[in-house]
Amino acid sequence: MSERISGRSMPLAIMGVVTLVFLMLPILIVAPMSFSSARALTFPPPGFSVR
Amino acid sequence: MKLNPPSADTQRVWPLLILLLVVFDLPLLFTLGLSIHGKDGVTLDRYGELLGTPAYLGVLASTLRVSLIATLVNVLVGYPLAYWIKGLRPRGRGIALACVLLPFWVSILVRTYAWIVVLGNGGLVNRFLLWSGLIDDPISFLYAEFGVTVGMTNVLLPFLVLPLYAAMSRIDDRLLQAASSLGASRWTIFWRVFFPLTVPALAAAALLVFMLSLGFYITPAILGGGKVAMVGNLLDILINQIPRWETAAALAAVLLALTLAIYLVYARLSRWGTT
Repeated sequence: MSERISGRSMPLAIMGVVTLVFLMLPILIVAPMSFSSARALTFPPPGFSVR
Repeated sequence: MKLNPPSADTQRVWPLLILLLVVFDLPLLFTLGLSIHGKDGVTLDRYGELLGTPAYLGVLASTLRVSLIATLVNVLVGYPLAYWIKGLRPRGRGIALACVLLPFWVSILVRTYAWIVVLGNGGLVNRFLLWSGLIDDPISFLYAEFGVTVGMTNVLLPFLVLPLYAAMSRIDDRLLQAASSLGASRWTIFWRVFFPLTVPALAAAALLVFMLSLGFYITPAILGGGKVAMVGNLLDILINQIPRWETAAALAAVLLALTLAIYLVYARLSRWGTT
């Protein structure tokens, strides 16, 4: 059976992606911040550093 | 059927059971004992003090409120996500599940501090709102219940989505196809067939999230900044700042009783739902 009955609609997909982004947001923020040159928590990082 | 006499197998379980009792339940019993330990024998003064002090009751109430809101948001956001993941092709499903699992492998401290960068007065959300001209002064999301709720929802979402997704993927697709072949619309199939089948798992997952959030400490401590007091933070104050272990033990016992009561209600409801 090629057609699926459940879980195929545009609003649902948008909601799913938005929720995933919400879930990943802290990690997406922290990963670049770990290379920040600033001493305090700022985003976007002012410069690059591997300090 | 005749009951078997205790075999060697059952006897072999005892050491393990005793280990579990000692490791898990003995500390709990010590805590309960501490909460009723007085100068001259057993006392219930701490419980009287807890229930007679508006500040403690307020903390309990705000704990319940924040936990309830966080659980509700989790359900509203997590259910569609699990449903969407279920409908994806295997490849997309793997990626989406990895995205749900990934936060588990990053420390909760790091994830919570990241929310300061997002929600703080100079954070991403406020800068965007200021830039777009919607607001003139930054809104203080942090150090209020809103920030705590957002952070807790974020941390707890995988605990809801993963069991829910597991339950959804066990549902027989042929049921949905049968409903479809009998002429039901997608809307009807979802609400009359699919959703009722997921309700027990949804209730169990929501209960798990609610119980976890009742005892939450790190996120309210960081994002609440001392202004949003939850039971976990009050316990910290009672143990580390004003050493009153007995009151802390009593508070922990009250929280335990509350959690057990909620669980009993749930167990009763689920039994009532199946019969």
